[in-house]
Amino acid sequence: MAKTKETAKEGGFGDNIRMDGLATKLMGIAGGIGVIGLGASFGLGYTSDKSQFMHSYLTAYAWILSIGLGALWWVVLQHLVNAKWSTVVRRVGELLASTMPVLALLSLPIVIPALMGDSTLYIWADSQKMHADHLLHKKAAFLNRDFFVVRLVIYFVFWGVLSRYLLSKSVEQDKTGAPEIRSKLQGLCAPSMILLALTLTFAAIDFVMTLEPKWYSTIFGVYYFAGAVVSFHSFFALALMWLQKNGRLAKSVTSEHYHDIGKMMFAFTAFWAYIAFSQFMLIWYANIPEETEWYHVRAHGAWGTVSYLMVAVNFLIPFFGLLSRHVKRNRMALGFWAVWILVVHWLDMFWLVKPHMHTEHLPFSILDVTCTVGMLGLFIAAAAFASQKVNLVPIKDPRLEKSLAFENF
Amino acid sequence: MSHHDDDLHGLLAEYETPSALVAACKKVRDAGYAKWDTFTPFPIHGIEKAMGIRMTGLPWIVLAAALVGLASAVGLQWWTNAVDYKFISSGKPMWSIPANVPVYFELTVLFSAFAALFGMLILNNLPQPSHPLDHLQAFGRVTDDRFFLYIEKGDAKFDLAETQRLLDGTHPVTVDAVNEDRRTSDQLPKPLVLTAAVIAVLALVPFAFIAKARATKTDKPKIHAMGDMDWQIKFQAQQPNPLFQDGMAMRAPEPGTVALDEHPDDEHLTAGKVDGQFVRTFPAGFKVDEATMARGKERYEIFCAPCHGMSGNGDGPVAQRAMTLAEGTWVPPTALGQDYLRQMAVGQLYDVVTNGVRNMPAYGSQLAVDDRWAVVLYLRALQKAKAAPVGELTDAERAALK
Repeated sequence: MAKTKETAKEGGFGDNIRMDGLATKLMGIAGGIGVIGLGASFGLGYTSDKSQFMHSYLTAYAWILSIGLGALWWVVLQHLVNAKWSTVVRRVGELLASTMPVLALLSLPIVIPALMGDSTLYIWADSQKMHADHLLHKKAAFLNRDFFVVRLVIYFVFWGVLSRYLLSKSVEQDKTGAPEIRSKLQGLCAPSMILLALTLTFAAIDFVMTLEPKWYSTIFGVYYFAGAVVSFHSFFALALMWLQKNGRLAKSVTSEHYHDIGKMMFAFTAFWAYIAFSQFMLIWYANIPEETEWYHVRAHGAWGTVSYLMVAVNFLIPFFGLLSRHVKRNRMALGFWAVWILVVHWLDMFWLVKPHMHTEHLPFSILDVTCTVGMLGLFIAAAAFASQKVNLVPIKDPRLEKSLAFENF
Repeated sequence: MSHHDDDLHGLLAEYETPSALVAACKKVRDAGYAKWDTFTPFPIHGIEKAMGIRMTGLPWIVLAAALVGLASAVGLQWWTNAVDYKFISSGKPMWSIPANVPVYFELTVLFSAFAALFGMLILNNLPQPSHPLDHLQAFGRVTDDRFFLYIEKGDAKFDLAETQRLLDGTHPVTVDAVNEDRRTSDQLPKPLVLTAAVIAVLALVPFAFIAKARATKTDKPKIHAMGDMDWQIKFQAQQPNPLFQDGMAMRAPEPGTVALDEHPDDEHLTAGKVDGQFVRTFPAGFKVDEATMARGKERYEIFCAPCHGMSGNGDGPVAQRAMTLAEGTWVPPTALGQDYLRQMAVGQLYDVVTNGVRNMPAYGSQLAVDDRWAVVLYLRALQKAKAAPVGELTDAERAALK
C-alpha cells in the first residue's frame, strides 16, 4: 500500500489525516463565498427593506448557530459518556465546534442595532415602548439592552473557551499521548454540559423567543436544541463524506460510523417532533390567549400551510426515510437525508422568526439565500482555519483502537 | 466415550480462547451446518459473521406491530370519543387529532416494544426450560472462562464420524458426545403449575367484583378509593368557617366592587329589565350581526345543547341518556320552539339564562353578559327557523322546500 508523505509524518497512521493544502483551498473558496454572500446581503439590505434584511439575517443566524452549538454539544457528550465509537471522528466535531468566535462576530448585525435602540427585531430594544405596556414593563428587568449584552458575552465566552480548550487538550494529547487527559476532560464535561444546557436555552430565548416578548414557552430552549442536534449530525455526516471524497480519513471512517451518526439523525428527528408536539399540545389544550397567540398566527393562512408542511418534512418523511439501517449505512442515501434535514431545519428557523415580520404572507427573499450561504461559507472557512495544523484524528487517544474497529451489531 | 447412537443428541467442542472459537465457527459455517450454536461467557465481536447468521427479520415485525399499535390507538380513541360515548366537554370537538396524539404515541411504542421482546424470544426459540447441555459438568465453565461450539444430531449434515473429524480439526480442548436428556421430565413442575393456577384464579377476582357491581343494585355509598381527593381539607362554599367573624366560608366582594367590563348602572343590559319589567328589545349597542349570531351558536352548543339539543327540541344527549335510564325523577328539558317561549320577552329569556329556572341551573357565572345576549339572539333564530311564515321565505327557499 502506497503511503503518502503525511502518514509517514504522523508515525504511519495508515490513513491521510492532514488537511494541508486542502485547508487553504477550502478557506479561500468558503471564505470567498461567505464574504460575497454577506456583502451582497448588507448591500441589498441597507439599500432596500431593513425589516426584510434583519429577519432574513436572524433566520440564517439561528440556523448556523444551531449547527455550531450542536457540534459543541456533541463533543462535550462524547467526553462525558466516554464514547468509544466516535473517537476517530471526534476531531472533526471539535473543529466544527471551534467556530464559536466567528459565530460571535456574526451575531453583531443583530446585536448592534438592538443596542442602538432599533426595535425592528426586538421591541425590548426600545425602552419607551417597553414601559408603555404594562406586561412588557414588568419584563423589562430581564429584557433590556444592557443585560442582553451581558448575557451574550457570557454565552460566547463560555462556548468559545470551552470549544477552544477541548480542541487544544485533544491536540496536546496527539503530541504527548498523556492518557490522563481523557479522564480530565470527562470530569470537565459534566459541569460543562449543565452550563451548555443553560446557555443554549437562554440564547434561544434571547435571539428568537424575545421577538415576541409577551409569548413564552418553557420548552422553547429544548425545541431549539433538538433542531441543533439533528442538523449538526446532518452537517457532520456531509463534512465527513466531503473529507473522504478528498482522500482524508478514507480508510478510518467506515459505514459503522455513518450508521451511528445516522442513528442520531433519526433519533433526534423523532425527538424534535416529540418536543415540537409537546409544546404545541400543552398550549392548544390549555387554550390561554397569551400563549395561543403565537400558534394562532402560525395556524392560519400561508403560515398554517407551512405548519402542516413542517409536520411532514421535518418529521414524517425523514422518520420513515431514516428508519432502515440500510439507509444509515449507505453514504448516498444518508447524504440525501442530511441535506434534506439541513434544508427543513432552515425552514423551521424561518417558521420561528418570520411570522414576526409578516403574519399574513411568507416573506421569502433573495436575502434569505445570500445570508444563509454567506454565513455557511464563513462557518466552513472558520472550521478550515482551525484544521490547518492539526490531525483529523486524535491519534493518541486511548479509545482510538476501539473506535477504528467499531462494529454495529 | 461410549454411547448408543439413539441416545446421542449432539457433539460439543470446547475451546480455550474466543479467537479459537471464531476460527472454528468459520469452518463449521463453511461446512454447511445449520443446527448449531455457540456458547460464551461474554459477547464476542464478529462472531455472528463467523457463524454466518443472517440479518434478522425482527425489524419488520416491530414495524408492523408499530403500525398496528398506531391504528389501534386511532380506532380506540375515535370509537370511544366520537361514536360509542359522545360527551360534550367544554365545547371541544368530539374528535380531534392533537388531544389524542399522546395515546397514539404510547400505543405505538407499547406494541413495538412487546413485538421486539416477544418476537426476539420466539425467533430464538426461547424460553427453553431445559437443554441436554445442562447436565454436562464441563459445560459449567461457559459462564466463566471456556468457549463452546455445539452441533446437534438433528442437523441434516450430521454424521458422527465426519462431524467428529471436522471438530477435531478446529483445535478444541476436547470434543464430547452429548446424550439426550432422559432425566428431565416432559411435565411442567407441579409447584409451577399450582402457582400459575392460583394466580389465574386470583386474576379473575377483580372481574368478578366488576360483574357483581354491574349486575346488582346497592344503596351503600360508593367506595372512596382516593380519600384525600374526595374529602379535601378545605372550606367549601356553604360551610361555616370560624376564621371569619360572620362565620361564613364564602366571602362576598367588598361593597361597591365592580368587575372589569361590568356595567352595574345599565339594568337593561345586565338584568334584562327596565323598571322591573322584562325588556322586549336587545340592549342599546348590542350588535345583531353574523359574528354575534355565530358566537351565540357556539355558546349555545356548548352550554345549552347538552340538554335542549342542537335544534332546541329538548332532546340533547343528557336528556336522551336520562330517558334511556328511565329513572322517573327526570324532568325533560323544555323544547324551545313552543309558542309561549316565542312570545316571551328577550329580557326574560336573558334572565333565565342568567339565573336559571325550575331544574335548569344558572349560567350567569359561566357566560359573560354579551354572550348571554348572543345566546338569546341565537335562540330567537332557532325559534324562527321552526315557525317561519311562508311569506318570509325567498323564492329559492320555497323552491327548495317543494
